[in-house]
Amino acid sequence: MTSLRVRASARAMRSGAIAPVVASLPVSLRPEETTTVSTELLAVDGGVDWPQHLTDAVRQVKGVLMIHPSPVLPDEVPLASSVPVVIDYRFASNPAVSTAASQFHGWPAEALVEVSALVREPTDQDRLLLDQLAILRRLGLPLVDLIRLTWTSHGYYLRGDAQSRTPVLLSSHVTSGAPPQLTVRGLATDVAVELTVPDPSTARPAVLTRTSDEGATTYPTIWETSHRAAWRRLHAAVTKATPVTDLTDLRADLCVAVHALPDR
Amino acid sequence: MSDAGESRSRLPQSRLGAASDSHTGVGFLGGGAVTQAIHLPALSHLTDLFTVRAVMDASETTARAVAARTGARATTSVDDVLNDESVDVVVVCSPPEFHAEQAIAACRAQKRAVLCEKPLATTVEDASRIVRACAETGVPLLVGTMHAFDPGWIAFAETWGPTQGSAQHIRCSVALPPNQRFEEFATEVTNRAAQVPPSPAPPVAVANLLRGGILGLATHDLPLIRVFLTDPADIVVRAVQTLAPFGYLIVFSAGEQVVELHAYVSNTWHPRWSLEAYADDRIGTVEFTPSYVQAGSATCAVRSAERQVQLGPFDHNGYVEEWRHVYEVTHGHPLRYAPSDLLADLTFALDLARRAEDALVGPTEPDGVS
Repeated sequence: MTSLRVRASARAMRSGAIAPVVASLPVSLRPEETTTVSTELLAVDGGVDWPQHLTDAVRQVKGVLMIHPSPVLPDEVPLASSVPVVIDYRFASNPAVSTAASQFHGWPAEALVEVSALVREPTDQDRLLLDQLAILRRLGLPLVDLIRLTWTSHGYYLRGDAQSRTPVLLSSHVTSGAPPQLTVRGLATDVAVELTVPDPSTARPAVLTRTSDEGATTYPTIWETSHRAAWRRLHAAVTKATPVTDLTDLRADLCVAVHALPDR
Repeated sequence: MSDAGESRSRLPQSRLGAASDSHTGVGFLGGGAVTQAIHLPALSHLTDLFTVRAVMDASETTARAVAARTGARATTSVDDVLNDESVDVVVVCSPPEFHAEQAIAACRAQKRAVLCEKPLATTVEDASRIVRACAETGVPLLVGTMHAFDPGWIAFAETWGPTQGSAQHIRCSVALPPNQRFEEFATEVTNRAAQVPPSPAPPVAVANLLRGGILGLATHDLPLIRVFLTDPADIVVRAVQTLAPFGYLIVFSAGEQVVELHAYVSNTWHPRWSLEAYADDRIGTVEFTPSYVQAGSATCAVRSAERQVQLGPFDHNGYVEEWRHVYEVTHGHPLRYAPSDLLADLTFALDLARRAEDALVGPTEPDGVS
């Protein structure tokens, strides 16, 4: 396996917990202390100035990991990248999401989907919304419209429609009462699916359960954080040319989110 | 409704297990599925306290069949039950449009208590008339909101502490198979009312479905939600829609607080009925057992940073506790929920139903807010 040299800003090191992730992939990744011509992968924090940092980064390396992006205007998303760019979402990058996607395949319009999340700080909510939109897209339920119902420092409620016309309720609850987590729950006439994704600060596994009139199935646990899964995907994109569409998808999500976000 | 925490059942456990020489007589107005699958099974746990004396139903066949289960007298006459001196407690289980007249008549008949199924009435005016009749006659009134009597909820409220204004978001989620499945776990239902399958319908009919959902299903938990709200009269419906085959999704704010209600009836086997409260520093969860089944109380949890308190399950569900409380009030104990609370509960439910209907049949989507 090709080993790639990794570097990140101090901010990205913290937000993406990069040191333990790189340490957990010692064959695929090697840390670099300083930027050199030999740096192959660069991590960029998704703070509000991320488009400029990303534009700079793609000129220097073979692949970029962008960590938990903040909302920007859709036109600010650089689409024509010469190298793969993978987004490391706090929740949507969890490896259980791809398994869950097969359970939501062909999800009916006559149903309900809710995406709720616990976060610690009100300032986490902008990024959380993009995370929620990304997880819906990765589950095969991209939203085509979104209305803000309420948005305060205590949380938010938004109502959307998936491409399939399934109604979707998104919520955020700001609390220190429990660790951050995100839950996607689908209720249809003959089946219910629930995916609970923990915060990537630990490798506590997501839990995916499908319930029908015949019983319930809980899927195998995957003890891997969103961060580690995102780095593996970037490695594969660089070394095996597996396709990534993260920036295109983010731009599409921002087009939906831009009118639902509160004015700043 | 007052904070539920103040009020554990006051009846000593030993008293319930002991034989009593003063059985309280019960008379039912309405012998349908709720009487058959909820109240009679609950009373079967309390045979040392209560004896069913009379069952009235508009259908003589139903009245006879249901009365025969307990050795009670069958009748098709409301007056027959009200004039029966062996009936101490009248249970109003008729369709909601009859609740007011029957509950008031039971008060005028000077019964020892009236237990009225929810909703108490179909209008605030009717509910006020009932409350006035109770005040004038001194007859205690209870409403069959079993979740408000559930030992799990009561334990939760004690642990959570004062509820009013304590949570920013309150969420009630109900995912259930059709009622019939649970009724049959509780009893064998005689002369079940025909189920009319919902179908796509014009706006007014959809609004009626929504109203039925709020007053028939959400009504179980609205009294519990109301005690969290600082200003329950200040309802603004943010989103509302009905869900096929049956269900609803409602988000409303009351002042700074936001309430999410959704219900979905499906064919999956796993029921889930939960009430959650989100505060800055803690999260409360109450998981109720489905109606009808004799599955004990709700379980609940209060989580705060790195700590979780779990309570329950307790042996009895809210129906049994409701009946224990009926016994208490017929023996001189004060009501757990005052008539003014019951009136406020119904006012809140009807106000929400009206505003949700307006939002549904008016503009297709209410405007968002900042």
